[in-house]
Amino acid sequence: MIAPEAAGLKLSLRPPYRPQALSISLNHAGIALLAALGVLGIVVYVIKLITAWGDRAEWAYPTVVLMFILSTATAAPLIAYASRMAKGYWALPLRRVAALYAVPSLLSFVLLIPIMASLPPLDGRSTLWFEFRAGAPFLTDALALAILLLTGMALLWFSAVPDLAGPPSRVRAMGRWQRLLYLNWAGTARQWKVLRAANLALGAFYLMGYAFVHMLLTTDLGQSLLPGWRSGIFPVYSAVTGIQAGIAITLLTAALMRRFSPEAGRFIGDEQAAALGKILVAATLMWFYFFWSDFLLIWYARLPSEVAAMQVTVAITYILPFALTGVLMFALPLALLIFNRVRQSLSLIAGVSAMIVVGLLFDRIRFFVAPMANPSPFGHAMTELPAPYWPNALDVLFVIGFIGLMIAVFVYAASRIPVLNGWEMRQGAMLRKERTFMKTHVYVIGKPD
Amino acid sequence: MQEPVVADTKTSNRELLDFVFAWPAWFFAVGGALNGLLVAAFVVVILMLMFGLQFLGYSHPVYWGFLIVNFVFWIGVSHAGIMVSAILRLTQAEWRRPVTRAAEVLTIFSLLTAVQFPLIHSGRPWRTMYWTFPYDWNRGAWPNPRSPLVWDPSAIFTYLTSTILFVYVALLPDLALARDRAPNPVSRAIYGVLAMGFRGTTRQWRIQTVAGLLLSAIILPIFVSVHSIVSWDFAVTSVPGWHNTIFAPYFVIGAVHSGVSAVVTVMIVMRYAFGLKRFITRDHIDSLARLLIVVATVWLFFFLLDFFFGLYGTEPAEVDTWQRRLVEPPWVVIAITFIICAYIIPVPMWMFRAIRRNFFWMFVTTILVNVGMWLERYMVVVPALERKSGLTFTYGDYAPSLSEFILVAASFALVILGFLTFSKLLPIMPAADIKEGQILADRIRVGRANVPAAMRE
Repeated sequence: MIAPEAAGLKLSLRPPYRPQALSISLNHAGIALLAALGVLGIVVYVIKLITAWGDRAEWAYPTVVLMFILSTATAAPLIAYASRMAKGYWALPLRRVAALYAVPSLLSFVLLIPIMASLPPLDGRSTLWFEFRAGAPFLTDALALAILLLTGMALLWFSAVPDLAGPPSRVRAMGRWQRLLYLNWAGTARQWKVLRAANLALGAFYLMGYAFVHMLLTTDLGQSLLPGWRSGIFPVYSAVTGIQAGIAITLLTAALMRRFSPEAGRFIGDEQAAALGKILVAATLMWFYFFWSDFLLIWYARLPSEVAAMQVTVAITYILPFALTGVLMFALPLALLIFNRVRQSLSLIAGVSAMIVVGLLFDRIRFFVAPMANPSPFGHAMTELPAPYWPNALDVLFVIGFIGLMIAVFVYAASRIPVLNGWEMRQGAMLRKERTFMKTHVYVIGKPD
Repeated sequence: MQEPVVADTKTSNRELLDFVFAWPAWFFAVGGALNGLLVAAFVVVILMLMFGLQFLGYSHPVYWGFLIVNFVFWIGVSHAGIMVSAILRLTQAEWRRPVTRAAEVLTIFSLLTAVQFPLIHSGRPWRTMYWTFPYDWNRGAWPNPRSPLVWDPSAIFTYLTSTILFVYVALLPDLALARDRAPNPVSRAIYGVLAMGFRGTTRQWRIQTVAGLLLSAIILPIFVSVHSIVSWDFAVTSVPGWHNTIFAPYFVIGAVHSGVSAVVTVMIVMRYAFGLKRFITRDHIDSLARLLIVVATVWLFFFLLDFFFGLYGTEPAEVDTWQRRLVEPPWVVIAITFIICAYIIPVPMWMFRAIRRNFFWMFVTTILVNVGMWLERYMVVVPALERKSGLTFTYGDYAPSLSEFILVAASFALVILGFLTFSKLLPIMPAADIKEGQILADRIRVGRANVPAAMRE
């Protein structure tokens, strides 16, 4: 077991340790750059709205960004939920960091609206909605995504209330609506019980919603626009690689937090890298498993319509993004992560994580640019392979700007809500002790039912 | 976190080895009945060899019936061992300790049973050697490595070998224990040879622990590959209803669902049959049930993906197959029964802590899951083949024959008999692992609560 950071074991319980939000200033070069990128993202988005409304090909790269956000920021809170469910104390300093990604996830909704508006009618092409037409896919997808995003926000808020509310006297002094927002938090035994149950229930709902939204969007923005592409595994591939990237972005953020936030840096260390590193190895292997399960069947059965779709996303049209994906999301990370030294060092694993996040961007390019830019989405088979659609200058600015905006929103959220989950960390400090056993030091980990 | 087993070393040793050195009367009665079923199956196989596959009732176009369903089912159950043992070992879940050995042994005997069925199904079992070995060295007629008939045996035997190794490495300290406690010189000598000189030195423990962990990590990809390859037996064909890319993970998660359920069933039976009430507690069943809720829900999601993407292309053949599976009698009855048994009844029940901690209800619900999962495999395999295709001119209806029922019953008998024989000869509870858990158990005082805890180095 990699030793946890000493600060986490010796946390002040009386008076209770209260975490602080990130302190940011525009004087810092990094923050200024992020702000500039954020402004760029908004400006380019507005330009696209004005000049390209309804033009599907113009929204191809914004779709890539949408799926990128859904696969990184929207996936990250799952780490908070899963580790809470599995009672993994190693994740205590990372839970809030991961949950905070629910805030930049909201940007995906902003992107979804113009993208859905550019979609062709459902009639005449394969769709998961079959004969159902009451608002599908626009309203249905928007509703599903909205529910997912709200659940993510609720998950973040519920777990943050005990840290934000402060002593009961402070909440009692609030106005009616504000008190309601703070759930009338007084820290009673009943409130704690409800809070824990709500966190678990919302987490489970979030996980199911995450899988469901991936199923809808990968079909409506992907498969149904490329005739002949019929792959039941693709929604799962998208969700699982999203989790891989969610882990990667959390590790990357953890490394930056340790470097730039003195408070978080006291608690975040190699213990988190070692634990998440193992899961990252499994997720990296899964990339190959899901890719191979998809590829093998289509290669083996040789149905012309399926083979043509595979030629677009893998073999011919987008072979370059595919190769980059394979290297950055699978080959290189696996080759590096098998070494304990890499897995157990936050700085080194952050480098691997950066690779995976970049690889994910290329992965989403090969899967979503082709369908969105496909001029003939109707029918059940392609008559000829569409030409590759490479980004123009505006697309490049959009991708950079909007991803910058996503990070800027995260940093802003971290400056409003404490980046550490104080109450859970206090609980962790009570349930983890360092002891001497025979001639060695051990950690005693208590797990109440 | 579970309460650790409270027993001194002497009591633990005695209770864990009790069944190995005792000969209860029920052992002979149950063993006799199971052997009777195996004899009946043997007769059926001999008759099949004499009269051909038509003896089992197979005719065009359905040649894949109960035998292949049973093959898939037992491969599925075999996934329990690794799911429970390797993953829980790697994640250092403390509650795994009494569960692992039974799960691993179930894996071995399920696999051994599963491999019988493609052999019987071939009609001429001796010819199956040509699936993996050249037909004639001199002619240079080599097996086709593109064929799932080559992939299957390769994957299954790799899995079997590694599982046996996995069990054996974990068994070494217990074999040494059995050697030291054996009542007569013959068994002492046999256990002594099997224990390979294990004396419990620091170096031996270190090697045994590292080997166990490495095998856990190595075996996981094999475990996933086995059922994926079984699924590709179906999915690589262009048969409507089978050709879906989701099949591999769908089969794997279905296997875990039925396998973990089978482990729960076996654990409950063992608790009463082998007198292991002190070691198999409500906490263990509760933890496995929580795991099952997650697994079952993922399985349901994959089933729905299979369904939706089967219909997605609106190809008439696919739609026709799904219509047959879900709408037309008698399949509609089977479809409803399977989904009720595999998900609708058990999962909502497992949401309640009282059910999860109740041996009777857990026994009933896990049996239901496996009934449902068997029917699911039946529903996947047969209706897809029954569909009339363009160039088929003779059609026969498929109805399972009495011989097939006997073979299915015998497969259960073979697994139970194998498990029982193993338990009789070797410790079915990992005594060393359980005792390690007792040593590592600790408590932490938080306010007025005394929380169970475990040490980690």
